[in-house]
Amino acid sequence: MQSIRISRRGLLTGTSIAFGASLLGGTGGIGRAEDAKKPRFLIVLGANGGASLIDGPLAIRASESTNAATLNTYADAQVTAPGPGGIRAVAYDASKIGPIPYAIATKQEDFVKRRGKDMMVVTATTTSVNHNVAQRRSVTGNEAWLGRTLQEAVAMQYGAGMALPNVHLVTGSEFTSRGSDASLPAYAYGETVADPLLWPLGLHGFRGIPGGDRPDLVAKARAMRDGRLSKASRFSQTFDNAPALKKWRALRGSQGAFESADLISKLMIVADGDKYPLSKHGLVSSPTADKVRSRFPDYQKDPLEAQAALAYLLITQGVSCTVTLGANANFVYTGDKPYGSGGLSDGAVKNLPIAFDYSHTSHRGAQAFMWERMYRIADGLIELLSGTELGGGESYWDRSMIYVATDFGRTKTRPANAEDFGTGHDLNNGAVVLSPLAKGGTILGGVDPSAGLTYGFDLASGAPDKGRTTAEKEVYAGILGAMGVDTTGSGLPDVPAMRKT
Amino acid sequence: MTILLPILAAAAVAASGSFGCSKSDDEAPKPAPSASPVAVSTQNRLKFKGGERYSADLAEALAIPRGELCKELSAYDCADVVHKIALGGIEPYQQTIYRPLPDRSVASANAVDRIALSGCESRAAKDFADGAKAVLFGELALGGAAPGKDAPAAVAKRLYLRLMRREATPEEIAALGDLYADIAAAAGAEGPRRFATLACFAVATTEEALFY
Amino acid sequence: MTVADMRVMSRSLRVFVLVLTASGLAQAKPPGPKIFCQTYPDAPACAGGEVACTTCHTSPPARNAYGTAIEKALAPGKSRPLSDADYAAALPAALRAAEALDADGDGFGNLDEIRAGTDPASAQSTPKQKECGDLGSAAGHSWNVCGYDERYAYRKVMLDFCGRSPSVDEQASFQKSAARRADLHAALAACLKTEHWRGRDGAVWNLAAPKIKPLQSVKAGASAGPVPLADYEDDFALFTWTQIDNHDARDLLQAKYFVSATVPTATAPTTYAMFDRSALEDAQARPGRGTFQTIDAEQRAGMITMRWFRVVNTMFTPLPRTTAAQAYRAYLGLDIALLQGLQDGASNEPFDYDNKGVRAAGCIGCHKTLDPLAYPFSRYEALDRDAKTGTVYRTQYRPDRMDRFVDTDGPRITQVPEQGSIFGKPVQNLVEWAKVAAESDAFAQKLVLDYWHLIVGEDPRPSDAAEYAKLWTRLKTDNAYGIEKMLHDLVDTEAYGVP
Repeated sequence: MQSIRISRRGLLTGTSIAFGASLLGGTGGIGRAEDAKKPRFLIVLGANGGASLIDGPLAIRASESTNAATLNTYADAQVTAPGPGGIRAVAYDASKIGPIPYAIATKQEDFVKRRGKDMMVVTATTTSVNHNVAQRRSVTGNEAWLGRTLQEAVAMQYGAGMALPNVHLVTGSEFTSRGSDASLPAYAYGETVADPLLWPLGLHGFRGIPGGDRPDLVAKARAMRDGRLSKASRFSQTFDNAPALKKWRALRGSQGAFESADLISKLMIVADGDKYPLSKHGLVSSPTADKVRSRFPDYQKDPLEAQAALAYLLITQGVSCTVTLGANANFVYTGDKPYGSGGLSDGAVKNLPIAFDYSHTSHRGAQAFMWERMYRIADGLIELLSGTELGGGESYWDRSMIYVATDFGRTKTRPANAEDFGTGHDLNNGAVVLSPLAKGGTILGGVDPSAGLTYGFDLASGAPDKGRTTAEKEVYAGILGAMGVDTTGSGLPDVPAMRKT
Repeated sequence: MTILLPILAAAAVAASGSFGCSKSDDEAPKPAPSASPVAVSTQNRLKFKGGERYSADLAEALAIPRGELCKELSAYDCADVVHKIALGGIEPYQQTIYRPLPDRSVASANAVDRIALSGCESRAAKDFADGAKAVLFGELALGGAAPGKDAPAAVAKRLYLRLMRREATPEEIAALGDLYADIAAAAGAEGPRRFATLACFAVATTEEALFY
Repeated sequence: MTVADMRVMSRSLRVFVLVLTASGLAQAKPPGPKIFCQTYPDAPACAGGEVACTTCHTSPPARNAYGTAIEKALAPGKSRPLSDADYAAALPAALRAAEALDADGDGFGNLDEIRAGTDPASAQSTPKQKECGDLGSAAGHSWNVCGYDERYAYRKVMLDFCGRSPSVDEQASFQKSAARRADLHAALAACLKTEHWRGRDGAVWNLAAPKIKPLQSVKAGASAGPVPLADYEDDFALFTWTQIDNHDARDLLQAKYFVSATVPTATAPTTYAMFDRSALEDAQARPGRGTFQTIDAEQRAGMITMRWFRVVNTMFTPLPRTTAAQAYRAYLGLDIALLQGLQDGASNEPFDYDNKGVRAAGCIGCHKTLDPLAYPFSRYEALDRDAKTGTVYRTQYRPDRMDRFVDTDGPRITQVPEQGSIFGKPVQNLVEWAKVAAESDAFAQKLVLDYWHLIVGEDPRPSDAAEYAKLWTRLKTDNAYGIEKMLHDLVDTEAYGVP
């Protein structure tokens, strides 16, 4: 695939140097780009609100539990173990999700069967059941490495020559929290994208704008502005040392590189048409947009599909080495019936109010709906990345990781034999990691079927250890280890159990 | 200790011609004093104007209704919708962005360019469509006739007066004169029209227009 | 979805337990800012009695360069975490040990920077910057960078408060004025009346967004979302009202009334109107799902008893810790998750009425403060109702609210008292809680800090400490909690008016 080769070369050639020089402001990024390892890609998929492992890969069969009636266990027939390593799947049908008249029939089995070999379940016990605090800790390992996030650490390792190494596609979440290590170069911090569909327009200074049809003349005007007009301005002279101006000048210095890279086209998901009249404005869709749109066909209605579509393009166009997406708290509902008029048609509900946290209202319905949503998005990304060659016989997926980050677990109990019940927040849970770089087809740790509580594992061997729980810091370190991030001097533990051997 | 910056040597420009805006020709302000040392700020507490303020200023300066200043794909308002967050805005209700982003990004720089270019092109189109009612570019919009030699300077002065709310300095007038020559050489007969848009664009996107 | 439909949720909500690791507690100590100022009482940054957390931290507990230098000298060799007593005893010596170091590598020692009021952790902030020669105010310069320049401030006032640059004529008129400072304040006064400043989605309105945390999909009333639970427009309107026309800003936490806001048109700006209705009257006046307020005047405490605030924070929680933490953070500037506002003392709190394990070693440090802070919120219903009562208004104040959680949280839940404490001071209920909060220094500081961020565009620098302290102390005294009066003070500061 030509665009991929160009992007990879760009890491070491003109494009990367242009990005490095302009964005970094002399922070040393160019040299790093030349030294950088072959990139790996981290996709953080935020499972906002508490994705409970015992409603997914660690589901408990009623027959296994001594407290089946009052514990969140499922009927034996609902739980299968289709994947390697005993990773489980839940089948759940219901005519409504709590009070929302939307019927669901979810089945995790297909996904686990298909992706199980790359699926690693890591048990953990976290340290906060406050959503914001917990989400931040899920990406900082509870401030494990000077407060830098997983995304920032990966961007530091692989992103020096990239245009936007760390892109945040989800808003209203602390999974995109900025780390507290202020010493990182600017490129390591996340770039926020509020609207994946229209955001690419901001990657070019004039294309698609009336009067922008002569780039050579615009370049002359810019050169005059930056070379003479601004310098002649007493305002600019007076505030010549202001950090805000220095930053602005660096950003302006990078505009040309973004424009030359044609990111306004390469990242444009939408199709030319009445709603997005691209061709009338001299714009085009990404060459790979057809493929992306067909895999995420609801991209115009479902913000998460739009995020996923752009995530794929950002990675495969060589723009980013880490992207963060996720479901936010908004109730996304489309369809031909007004809400409250009766049963909602299939596909009308895209996202539940407060996402996984809707488990307060209807635990099983919310977990089933949202787990399916996470799996479906992950499946689409894996399919696309697997089918795109990175080079050297490897696909992008071969060097990628999807970390399904979540706040915490949910409380483990239920009123006796209740099928529709609500749950609160619980520190005990874990995370799902999907990656050929991780020890796939594995459950690290386990779950006590009599209490619904997960227990830990030996960090070296991966052997289950009922006497320990995994800390946020250890999960963080394990992810960075699998990602090949150099953590020398960090004080982080080594977690070989999470790496593919 | 005060830090001094030498000013670039001022280019001598014969500044004549009329000014628009609220002043009559007789009251036209003289070019600002020539180079003198500038004391550099020790506080350096600059703020970015942001999309809302920037667009309000620009629309007023160009005498274009705010809603017509810039629309991406002819449909989506640049400052209020597409580039709102990049330009320091918030969108608390749908996207739950409750605070402005702490830093600007390259998308911010591009967004400013796009808004300015759109607005300036719109003003130029109106002025060249009816030179008699021109707001900014009367000396250039002569129905195909060649502009006079003083036209670039007159436009430069008016651009600063309207966009920057101050007089242009000789250096700035000279710079735009050079830009006129450069664009004329590259664009041929289209030169005056192109210069109108791009001179406006250049002034409207200077640091002084964007920060305070 | 109706409120009635959601009764199933009442069984469900468990706990919002804030847990901090032992190491986290060891890294940031509430006494630190005071000890710093006891060590350096004459430091400009100590004008308010305590330094900001950012003196030593980036985002607590993570340390900045200066904090790192101190930590290295803090009881070296002693095992972590340090006890509070050990920390307090060792900190002065650690501060002195770091005095001769240059943490930020800018060529100025830490002590020199502390004395000069510059930031020892930032190479961008040096004592050198304080020097200023004569040329700064010489004729022909754009601005006087060595002192307050009204022309510079005028342009800023017009942009900050009116949302536009001054015109050529306005600037010329200002330039000619013999009473520039008075004209500056006149301009400010005019701008404070503009739609840009006080209108719907204007500067003041938007300032409330992180406190209210709106979410359109569950909005009730005009432009309702698909699951209407409450209408945050009431919250924005009340917030804005308390910040304009020199109304008493303490009403943020003490208002017994409500406020409505009109939708502006091209010719009619947003207008606000105060109204006072009982819950019953409001339900009759504004019928609909989630559209009306449900707390009667006697139990109202401004923003923190608004229906939306309870819906998004308390939801179905028996003991609303998240609600209390958000009130503490949004209106007092104290983020318990960042170890701010923690109270020392010998109380036996937390009692862990809901069996959430909050007395565990890693939890008790925060919950000692958080739980008694949350008790007074416990009688304010948010989303659910007790099906037995049959009352129309399900989200009201109910003294017996805890009774309905016995099935899910155990019998001890009924022992959660309505009495609690804030800043270590016992309070009988939320109205008292709010009164103590509204009279506190923290409340005034937070009000000023929000506007400082908005107007100055950054945190107060160490060299701004005296001006910042003056702003909030005058807000409490001479300015009688009038925000507009405070803003007139703010534009008079050197932080605002020196280019």
